[in-house]
Amino acid sequence: MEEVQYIHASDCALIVSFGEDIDETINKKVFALWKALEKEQIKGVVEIVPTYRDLCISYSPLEQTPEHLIEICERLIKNLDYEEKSERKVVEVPVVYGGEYGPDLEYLAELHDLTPEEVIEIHSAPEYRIYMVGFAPGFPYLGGLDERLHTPRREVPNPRVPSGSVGIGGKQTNVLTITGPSGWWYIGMTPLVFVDVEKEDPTLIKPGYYIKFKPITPEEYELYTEKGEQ
Amino acid sequence: MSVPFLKVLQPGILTTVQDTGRFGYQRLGYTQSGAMDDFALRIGNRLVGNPENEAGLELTFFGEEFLFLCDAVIAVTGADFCPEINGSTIPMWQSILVKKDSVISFRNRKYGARAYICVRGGVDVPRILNSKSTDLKSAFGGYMGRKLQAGDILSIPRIDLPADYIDKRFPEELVYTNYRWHDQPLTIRVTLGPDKDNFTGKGYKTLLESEYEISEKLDRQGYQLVGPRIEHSTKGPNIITNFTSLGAVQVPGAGTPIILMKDRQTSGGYAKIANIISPDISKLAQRGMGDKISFESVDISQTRDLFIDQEKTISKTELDLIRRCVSFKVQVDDESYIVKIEEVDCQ
Repeated sequence: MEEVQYIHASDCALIVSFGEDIDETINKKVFALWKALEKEQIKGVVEIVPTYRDLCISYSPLEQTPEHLIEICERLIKNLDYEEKSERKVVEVPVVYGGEYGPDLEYLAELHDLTPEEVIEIHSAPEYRIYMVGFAPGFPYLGGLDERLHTPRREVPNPRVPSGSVGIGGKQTNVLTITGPSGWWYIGMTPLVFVDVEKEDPTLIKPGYYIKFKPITPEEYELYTEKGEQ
Repeated sequence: MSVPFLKVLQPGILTTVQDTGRFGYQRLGYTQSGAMDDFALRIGNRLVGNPENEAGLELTFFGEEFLFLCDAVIAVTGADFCPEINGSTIPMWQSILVKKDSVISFRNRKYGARAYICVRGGVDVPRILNSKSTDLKSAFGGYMGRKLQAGDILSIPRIDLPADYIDKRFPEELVYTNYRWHDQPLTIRVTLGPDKDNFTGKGYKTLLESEYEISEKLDRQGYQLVGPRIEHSTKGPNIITNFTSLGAVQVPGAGTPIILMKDRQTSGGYAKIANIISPDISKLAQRGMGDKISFESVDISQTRDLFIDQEKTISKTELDLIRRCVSFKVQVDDESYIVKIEEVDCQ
C-alpha cells in the first residue's frame, strides 16, 4: 500500500495522510483507521476528523505526544480491514440548475467549452460518494466529479452564498447546507433541507452514503418547498 | 432553580455566551466556538471559583451596560474597556461582590478587543452538543443561539456568594506579560505547514520577514491580513479539502493570509502555510483592525514546553488574596496620626 504520511497540522493536531487524491480506496482507508482509533479510546485525544484522504487527530499536549500517536497508528494500520460491507445508500437530491438558482452555470459552461445543458447532464449523471462531512453542519463533500467540470476556486471567496446552493470547487462538487461565505462556483439550488439541530439525528446524510442529483424545474422546486413546509 | 442575575441594557457590538468551546463534533461540521481569548475566560472562571470551562460573557469592544438583578460574585478579565459599577471604576482580574440593582458599564478602551465577565456558578444556558458556547453561524447554543440584545435576561444556577472567592486577584505581573503589550506590534509564533509543498522558499521568506496588518475583515471566524503577497509553488493555492485547525494560516490565490479562529469552518481547501501555536491564540484574539503582526517560526519539538508553560500559568498560578486595608486618623493630644489597619491571617 501507498506510504502513510504523518504531518503536524499544529502544536496539538496530527494529520495522517493516505494519499493526494480524491479516491474511493484512499477514503475507505481513512474511515477504517478512524474507526480503529475510536475503538482504542486513546488518552488525551480530543477528537478525530476524517476527511477525503487524511484524518486529523486533535490532542492535548499535556497528555499525549505526536510520537506516541504515530506509533499507535502504525500498529493499527498493519491490521486494517478496508472493505465496507454494508449496502450502498443513495439519497436523491432534486436540483434546479442555472438562472437565479445557479448564477455561475453560464460562466462555468463557457470556461469548459460546454453548453449549460451539457454541464447539467455531466453533473447529474454519477452517484457521488460522501467522502466527508465538514465546513458547516451536515455539509457533504462528494467525490467523483467528472474531470470536464474541474474548476479552480475563486481567488476571493464570495461573502454570502445561500443554503441549498449546489456548487463546484476544484475537483469537487457539493451542496451548501448553511448560508455563508464560499470560494466555490454555484450552478444550482436544491429545496432539500440537510440539517435540523432540533432532531436527535441532526444531519440528513452521513459519510459513506451516496448522492444522486436530479434536475428539476423551478415549478417543481416551488412545489417541493410548499410540501416541505406542510 | 435558576436565578435571573443580569439584564442587558446596552449589548455593544457583539456580546455572546461562550465557554471554552464545543469539541467532538467537528467531523459532523459543527464549529469549535468558545471564547476567542481562552486565557482570559479561564482565569475569570478560576477567580470566581468556577471550573475553567464554565460559560461567561464575551464582550467585543466597549459600549456595553448591564443591570444586576441579584447579588453576584463576578470577575472581569481580558481587554480593558474601563469597567465601572454605578460610575466607579472597578478592578479587573479580580473577583468582586456586586450588589443587586448595580449597573456595570464599559465606556472606553485602554487596550484589547474582547473582555470577559465571569460569574460564580456560570451563565445558565442549555448545554448543546456538550457546550454552552454560542454558534452564531448555525444559530444554536449560548443564549438562544444569538448575540445578546437589549432586554435579554441571563440567569445563574443559584445565588452563591462564597467569601473564599471574593477579592481574589490574578497576579499583576502576569496580566502585564500577557496583556499590556497592546501598543507594540505583535510577533506570533507559528509552526510551519501542514501544506509546505504548496509554497516556495520565497513564499516562506515573505511570511516570516514581512509585517502584516489586520484588515477590516476580522471576526470570530478569522482575520484577513493585508501585506506582501505570498508566493505559491506550482501546486497552487488549492488543496484537497481537509481539517482546519485553530490558528491555521491559510493563503488563498490572492496571496494574503487569513488566520482561522474559533468560529472557523470545520474544513477548508486553501493551502495552509503555517499554524499559530496554542499559547499565542489569545494574544491574537485581543488584536483588532489596523494592528500590525509578524510571524516567527518555532520547531514543533519546542511547542510542547510552550504549551505546558501556558497551561501552568492558567491553571496553577496561585491567586492572591487582597488584604483589606483601612486607614484611620487618630488624634493624640494635639498630634494627629494616620493609622493603617491591615487584615492578616490569624492562624
